[in-house]
Amino acid sequence: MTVRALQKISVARNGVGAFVLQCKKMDLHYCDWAGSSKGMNGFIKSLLPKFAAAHPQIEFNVSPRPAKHPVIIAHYINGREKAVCVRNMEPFEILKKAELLRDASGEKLRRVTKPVSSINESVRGIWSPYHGEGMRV
Amino acid sequence: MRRLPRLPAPAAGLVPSSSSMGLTTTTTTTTTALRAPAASVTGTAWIPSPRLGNDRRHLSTTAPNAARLKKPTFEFDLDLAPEHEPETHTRRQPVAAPFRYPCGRRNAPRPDELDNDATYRPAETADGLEEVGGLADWWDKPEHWGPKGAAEYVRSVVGWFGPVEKVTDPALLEVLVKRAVVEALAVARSAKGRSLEARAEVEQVFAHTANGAYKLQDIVAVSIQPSGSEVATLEKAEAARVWDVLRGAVPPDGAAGQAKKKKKRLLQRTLVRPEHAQELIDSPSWDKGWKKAVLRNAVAKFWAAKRIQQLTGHHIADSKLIGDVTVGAILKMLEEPVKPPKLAELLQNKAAFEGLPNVRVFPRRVTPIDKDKMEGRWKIITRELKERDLPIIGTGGYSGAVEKRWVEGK
Repeated sequence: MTVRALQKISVARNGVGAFVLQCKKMDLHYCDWAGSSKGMNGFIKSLLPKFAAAHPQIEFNVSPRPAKHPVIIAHYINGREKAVCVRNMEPFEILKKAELLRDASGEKLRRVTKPVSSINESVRGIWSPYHGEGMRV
Repeated sequence: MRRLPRLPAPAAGLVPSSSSMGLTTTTTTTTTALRAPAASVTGTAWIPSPRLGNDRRHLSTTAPNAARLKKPTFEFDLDLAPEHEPETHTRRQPVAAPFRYPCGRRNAPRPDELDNDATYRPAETADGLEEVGGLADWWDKPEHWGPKGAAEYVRSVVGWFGPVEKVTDPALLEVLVKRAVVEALAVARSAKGRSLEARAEVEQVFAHTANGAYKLQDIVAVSIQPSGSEVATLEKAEAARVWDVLRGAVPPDGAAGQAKKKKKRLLQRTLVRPEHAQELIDSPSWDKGWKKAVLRNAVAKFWAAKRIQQLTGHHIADSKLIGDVTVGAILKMLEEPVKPPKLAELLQNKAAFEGLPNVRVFPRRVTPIDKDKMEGRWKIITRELKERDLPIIGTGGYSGAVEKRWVEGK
C-alpha cells in the first residue's frame, strides 16, 4: 500500500471556507536534443517564470529526460497525479495545458448528472417522525 | 560440361565423368597426382589430351574402347580435344610490408627421438597442459607491425591521404584551406594535372608538402582575387611562382641531393602550430575578404578538395562542390558547429528563476534513486538491502531469464 498524502479539500462552510488549490506540484520534463521539445524549452525559458511566480503554492521541478517527449506531470493533494504529453506544442499551448492541470481537482473524470453535490450536512438535519410536535391526522 | 577450375589437382583428376563422349577434361595445372595409372579405378580409362600435353590426362568412366585408346603411341584424336584454352594461374605477389607473420607449426619431439630422457611421455589429453603462445592476439602486439609499431605503420600508409587526426582549430583550418585553394588554383592555372604524367608530378609535389608547413607564409600571402573579381583565380605569373615554390620541395635524385633530401625530410616533420596560424590571420597583410571568392573551375575544385583532405584530414563530398561554391562555404563545412547550450545551463546563466523558491532546475535526469534520496529513504533502503545481502543497484544476476541459463549450462 502506498503512502497517501493527507486529503485536504476546500470546505464551503456556507460561504466562509478557505479555498485550497488541489495541485501541489508539477514536474516538467524536456529533452535538450529532440525537436518535439522545442516548444517546451521555449515555455520553460519564457513563460514558466511568470507562471511560477503567480502560483507560489505549487512546487515546480524542471528536469531533462533525454530522448523522451516532453511531459508535464501534476501531483494533487489527494495523492493522485495527472500527466499530459506536450510534444510538438507551442509555448502558449503548453501554458493552456499547465492551467488545465492547475485547475483540475486530481479526481478521476466522472460524468456529473446532479446540479449540486456537497459533502456538507444539511443545516436542517434529517427529518424524523418521532421528533418535534408531530402531525395530527 | 561441368568444370572445376579451382579444385586442387589431385582431387580434380580423380573425379569420373559420365558424358556421352566418355571424356571429361580438367583444368588442373598440377600433374603429380595424375601420373599414377588408373588401373585401380574400375571401368575407367586415362586418355591423354593432345593440346595439354603429356602432363594433363582426362578420366573416362565408360568402357575402354580399344580403337580409341592408343596409350603406347600417344597419338591423339583431334576431335576429342578440349575446346577451351588452358587456364594459367598466377601467384599473387606478397605485399611489401614490415609485418612479422606467424611462423610455421612445430611439432613436439616423439619419444623415440629423445635418447636421453627415458621418462618422457607425451600427453594424450590436453588437460593440465599449459597454453603457450597462440595467434588470437597476434596483431595486438606492436612488434608484429614492424620495427616502428602499428601506429607508425598506419601513419606511413594513411599519411599520403591526410593526417590521422582531423584539424579542428579554426585558425589552423583557415590558413590550411587558403594554402590548399592557392595551390589548387596554381595547378589549374598552369594546366597541371591534365595528363597522367603531369598529374603524377602534382601528386608527388603535394606528397612532399603534405603537412602544409613548407613555405607557408609565401603561399598564403597570395591574393586569390587579384583584380577584385568574384571568381577565385591566380594571375599566370603568380601561378607559375607558386608552382616553382612547390617544386622546390621535391628533393633531387642522385647522390648530390642526399643532404638536401635529409633537410627536406626534417622540414616535413615540422607541423604548423595553431599559434602560428593565428599570428598569420591577425597580421595586417592577411586578406579578410578572401572567403567570398567563388570556386568555379572544376579542376581547381578537384585539386582543392584533394589538397584540403591531405592537409586537414577532412573529406569533402563531391555533391557539396556542385555549382559555384565560395571558399567560405567550404571552410564552414570543415568547421565543427558550435554545440547549443543545455537548457539547464542557459537558465542558470540567465538566472530565470531567481527569487522563486518554488522552482527547482535539475541539470540531469532525476532518477528513482534521486527521488529516494530527496525523501530520505535511500539510506534505509541501502541498509536493509545490505542486511539481506542483496545488490543495492541492479539485479545482481538475479534476472528473470533463469531457464536460459539452465539451457546454456551456466
